[in-house]
Amino acid sequence: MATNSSAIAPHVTARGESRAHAQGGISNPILGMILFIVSEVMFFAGLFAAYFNVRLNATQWPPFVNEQPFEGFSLHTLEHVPVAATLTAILVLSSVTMQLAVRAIRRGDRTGFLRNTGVTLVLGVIFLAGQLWDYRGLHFGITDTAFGSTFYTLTGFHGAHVLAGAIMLSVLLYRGMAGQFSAKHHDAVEATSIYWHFVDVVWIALFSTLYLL
Amino acid sequence: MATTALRPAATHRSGLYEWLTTTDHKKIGILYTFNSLILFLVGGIFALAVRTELAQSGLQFMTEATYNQMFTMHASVMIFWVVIPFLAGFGNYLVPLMIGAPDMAFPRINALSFWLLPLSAMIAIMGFPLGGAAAAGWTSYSPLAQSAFSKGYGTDLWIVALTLVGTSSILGAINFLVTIFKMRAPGMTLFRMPVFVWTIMVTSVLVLMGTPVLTSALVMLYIDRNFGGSFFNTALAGGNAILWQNVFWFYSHPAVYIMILPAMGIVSEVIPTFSRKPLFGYKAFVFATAGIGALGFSVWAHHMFTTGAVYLPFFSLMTFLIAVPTGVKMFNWVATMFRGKIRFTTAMLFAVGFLSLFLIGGINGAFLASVPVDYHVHATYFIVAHIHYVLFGGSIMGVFAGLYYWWPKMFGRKLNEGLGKIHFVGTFIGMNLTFFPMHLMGTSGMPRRIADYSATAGWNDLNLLATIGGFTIAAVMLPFLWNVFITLRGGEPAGDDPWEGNTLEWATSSPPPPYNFDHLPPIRSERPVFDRRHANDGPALPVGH
Amino acid sequence: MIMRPRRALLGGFLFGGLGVVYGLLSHDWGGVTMLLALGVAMGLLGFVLMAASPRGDETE
Repeated sequence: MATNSSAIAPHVTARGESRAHAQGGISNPILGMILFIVSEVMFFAGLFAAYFNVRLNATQWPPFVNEQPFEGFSLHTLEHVPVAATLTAILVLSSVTMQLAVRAIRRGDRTGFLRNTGVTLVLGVIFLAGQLWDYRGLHFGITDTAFGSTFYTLTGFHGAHVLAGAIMLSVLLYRGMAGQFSAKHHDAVEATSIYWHFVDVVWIALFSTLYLL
Repeated sequence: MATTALRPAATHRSGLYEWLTTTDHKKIGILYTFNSLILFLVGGIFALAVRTELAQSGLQFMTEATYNQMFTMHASVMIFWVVIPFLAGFGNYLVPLMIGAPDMAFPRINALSFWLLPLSAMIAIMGFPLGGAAAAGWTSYSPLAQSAFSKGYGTDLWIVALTLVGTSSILGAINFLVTIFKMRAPGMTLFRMPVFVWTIMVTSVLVLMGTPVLTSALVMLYIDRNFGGSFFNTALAGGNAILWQNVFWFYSHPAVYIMILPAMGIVSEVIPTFSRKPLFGYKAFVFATAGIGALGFSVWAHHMFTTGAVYLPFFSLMTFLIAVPTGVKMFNWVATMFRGKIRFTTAMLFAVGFLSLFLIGGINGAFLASVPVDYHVHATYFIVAHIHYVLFGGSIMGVFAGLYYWWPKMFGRKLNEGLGKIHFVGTFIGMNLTFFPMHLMGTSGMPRRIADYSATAGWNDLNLLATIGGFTIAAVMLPFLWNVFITLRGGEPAGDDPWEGNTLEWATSSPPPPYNFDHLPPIRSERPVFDRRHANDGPALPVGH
Repeated sequence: MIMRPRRALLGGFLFGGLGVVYGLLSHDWGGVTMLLALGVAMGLLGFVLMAASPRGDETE
């Protein structure tokens, strides 16, 4: 017979702890977030698959427009790569600050957590603004051949994910200021940080594929 | 041995409000079941429309445009709003019970997963009054699905609806995986779980990995149709129509395993109970399930053999390979029944019916794995025969077996066996009458998705036969629905364990209390309730693993 | 069954390998991308599910 859990709620120990915590495993909400991210990997996989398929099957890449090479498609220029590289640096930095925030709350440092989360959010918003600014400087749209379709779809959905992450960070800030997180209870922070790192990794893949390759 | 159920003080919630706001996995499972049942009738009516038109040569009842909507929506409704949710509903109801947990890991997300389904179904069906529902086939190939050829809202509504269904499925998969891995009762190791739970686990992995790829394809199609994109639009520069097929089938092939694995799980619970023998080769079965899941991701382009854009030997080989674990399961089920003491209840009849019909579907599928054969019968009625033998003869028969088996647990009363047997016989005969002729139709060249055919092609009698079969299936749904109606209204209580089952759901009352269990029996094997029932039978036999 | 989480990464390598083989045999880069991503996703999935599973006191 189980001695340290009830038959009614076997996932809860006699001391009221979630069994996962009692055994030091990954808690349910964090596991749920990781699984969600696994599914998101496959979503981006479909979009990347379309990109590689279209690009590597094309007789000419970037495609000609009206049978002429189209300068607007050139993303390798001095105009665009530095901008994109800066955005990359911003996002990577935001991942660092996010991790600092997690470390802070793990040791109960609420101020450090709030400060680092705030910085992460600001960096995320700067990234989005920068992305939009980059869009403005581009000379092609989504309707301009498969090049335009794949570019805007990939970066657009990534941007949407960054936006969602920014909303999650705002919620963390709000809840954090309301004092809802402690060293022992901060699942939402861990989960959000995992999501944020994922968004960063996707951007690195995007940047490498679209701007460098 | 009846368990007494603690009844907490009733809170004042009206019945309807309770059902609309519940997060209890059992109620949600029942909601899934009824939603699927209603949409099964809807999808069935679309099928009857198709069969009525095809009974005789000549367009008698509808235009070609309407016919295209009928077969598109028949397939879409049946796949996404009937079979997948039926099985998810069983999973929802049974998985926590079978592993001794009080609910799913994320009860509110569970409710969201359900409510996305009737909402999305309505969105898809809204196409009909708004200028025509989707009509490019459930496979929605480009360029037909592009805005130039599929004008109007129908396809866009279909895209949005499917994206919502996909979200529902993915959230459900996350829920199942966390529940199964984190909330098992003490003693319930992975290899003591009921096989049904294993099938839900593998299915959830397939859903988690495959469905997002469908979402990406749908998103790209939507952009093509509404924002001037050129992913699949060959008219504009760079687009590639075959790309749609590639990405679409990367999901849709695992989708068919998503639709069959839980049904196989159901059958693996029903057959041992009514053969009074444990499932033969439990571990082999688990590995076969995992094998089917893994191989299921490597065969998708067998739907595209005739495009000329596929590396044929790879996909042909992988497709033949998948027959191996499937065959292992067939042998396991038959070996379970061998020398067993068999009771032919309605549930058992549907389970055995599954064995024979799914076998036919598997065999004609093996033929399709051969490239030369596929070249001949691709896009003919041979494929329609294959699809329906595995999905109707397989998944739906499995669903009915599960309904008759677990109905007493869910509602406290057994379904009437007499009516059930009529339902089974009619379904079995009707199903074969409808779909067996389609093998011949296909090999003699009748293409699929055509509203009409020449009177001199030699397909008249076969089509008439198939239509008669279709109406037979429809007709015996009536005794089934009557059965549901009278059972819900009243009848003899079934008790905790009316069938002498093996697994934990039979260790609590029918229906179970909100928190599922007052008291769990000791879990030492994959048959804890059986063990408890025979605990005093004599010297202890070596048990468990 | 208690399995070391790192063993679960093997599942990911299986699909990764399949992707590589497929890439060498065909020119379907879309398919290769999806299979390789599947390898990454499966490896991560297996690892995290094994790491999250309760272990040890299962003999009750």
